[in-house]
Amino acid sequence: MTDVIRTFRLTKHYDSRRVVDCLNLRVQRGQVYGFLGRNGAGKSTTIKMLMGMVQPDSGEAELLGEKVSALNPKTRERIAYIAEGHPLYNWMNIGEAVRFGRAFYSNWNDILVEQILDHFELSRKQKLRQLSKGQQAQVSLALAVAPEPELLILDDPTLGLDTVVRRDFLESLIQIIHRKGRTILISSHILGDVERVADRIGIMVDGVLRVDCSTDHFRESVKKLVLDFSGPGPESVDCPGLVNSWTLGSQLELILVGYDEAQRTAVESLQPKNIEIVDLNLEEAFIEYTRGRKRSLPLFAREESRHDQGVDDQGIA
Amino acid sequence: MIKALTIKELRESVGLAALAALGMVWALAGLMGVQPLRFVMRDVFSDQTIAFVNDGFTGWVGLFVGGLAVALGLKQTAWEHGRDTYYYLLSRPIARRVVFATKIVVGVLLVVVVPAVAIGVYGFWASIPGKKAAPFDWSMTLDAWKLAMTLPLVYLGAFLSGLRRARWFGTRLIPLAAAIIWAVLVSSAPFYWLYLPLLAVGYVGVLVAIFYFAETSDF
Repeated sequence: MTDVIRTFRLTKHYDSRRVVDCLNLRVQRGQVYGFLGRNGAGKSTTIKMLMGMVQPDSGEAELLGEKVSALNPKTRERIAYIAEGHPLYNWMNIGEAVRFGRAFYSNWNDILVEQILDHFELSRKQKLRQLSKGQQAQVSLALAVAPEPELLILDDPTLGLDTVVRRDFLESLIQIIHRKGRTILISSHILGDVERVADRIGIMVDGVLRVDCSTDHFRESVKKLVLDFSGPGPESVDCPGLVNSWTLGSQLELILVGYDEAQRTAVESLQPKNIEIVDLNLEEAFIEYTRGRKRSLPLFAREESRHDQGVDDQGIA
Repeated sequence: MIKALTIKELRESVGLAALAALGMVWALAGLMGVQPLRFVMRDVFSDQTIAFVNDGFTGWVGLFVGGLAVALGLKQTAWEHGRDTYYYLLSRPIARRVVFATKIVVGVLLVVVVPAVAIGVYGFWASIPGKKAAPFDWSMTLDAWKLAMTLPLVYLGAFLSGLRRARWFGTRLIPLAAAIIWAVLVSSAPFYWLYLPLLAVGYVGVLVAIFYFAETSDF
């Protein structure tokens, strides 16, 4: 299979902060790649570098076999991009936006645009500024797929949409994916959205691509272990594949990747009373993988100390 | 596609151009002695002047068309930044330099056409015997034409300010300030053989900077 998206040590700094760090990303033809990460993880900056909107400090990116820095308009015709927030010219009505978009492409599927607009019950006479966010997303989608692109790059396309509109948008996206085996890179910080469409995911953490595997593999790899101790649990643990750990009284919770024999031995060496292995769903696995070190909030700490002093809140209304 | 881009730019700019044109209509009406305006603005317009020489025509052009130049340059660039529409526009399959060249051609045309029409109309009126109690020759319009040729430099300075992001507003406006200073210096050149090359240097400098930033800036 050929790589439709390929980056080599792509790096970007904003001031002294490295927002994308030596990113080597490969997306193969026909793949739907979920590009995940928390806010500020570097997803949007990466996508902007792929689209030539942001210049990398070092490294290179290729789309459809051509360097992004020298992408010719013919190749660009085969790529669609929906930016975060679905920016369009709000003074246009839908018909004008369609005419404006069509002017740039030699291949433009008017029937498909009509179908999508009809499906979403959008009239060509409606002004874009009068549309809801969800409707603007639907227009963006229609304009993006009309030139029958081989590659779709979607930067958090469901951001700000309500649950129902998000579901509609994603279902339309699934239908589009099934046409002609398109390659799609979709970024999001909502894993549930990506889970429905992506067959492979990449997770950015602080500008670094920490995960790049199939969705199922990721789900199966991340485990939560709950260790019970008779006294207070150990403060720190040294274990291969350890992502996160925290202590809750006499319990120690560990998030591990690729739980195997070596990890089991390391965990058993702590001599816990009991070990419980918890399977996580994809959303939980993503949250546990990307969240920072878990700490108790001061409020909770205060509540605990009040309970320690024998204060009973049950009587307070 | 250039036609679509041109129409888009015209649609987005025509409002500002219309405002400047309205301002010039008001100024011309005053200069031509339209009574209702003369009654309201009796201290601003006077009969005891010579058209294009000491009647303040270039001041009105500087005010209305200069304002248009600054507002249009910023609107065509910073406005797209502010609404994130660059992400849509610059991902169209067209070379970035063509997008910006189209914007500039439309902007320059508007900034030139408004004063050119005003000079033509006012000059034609002044050339009709009996309209103005003062001598008139078309060579008297040269200073006004000089201004009309210089104002696009201010427009380009504003365009560059809008395009080039900076840490704070003050430094972002440096290109606009530099273009205004250069335009004033060039306009005060006493000879045309000096004025034209200096003006050309200004245009080349700011255009090179615009296309450099268009290709290398982060959007």
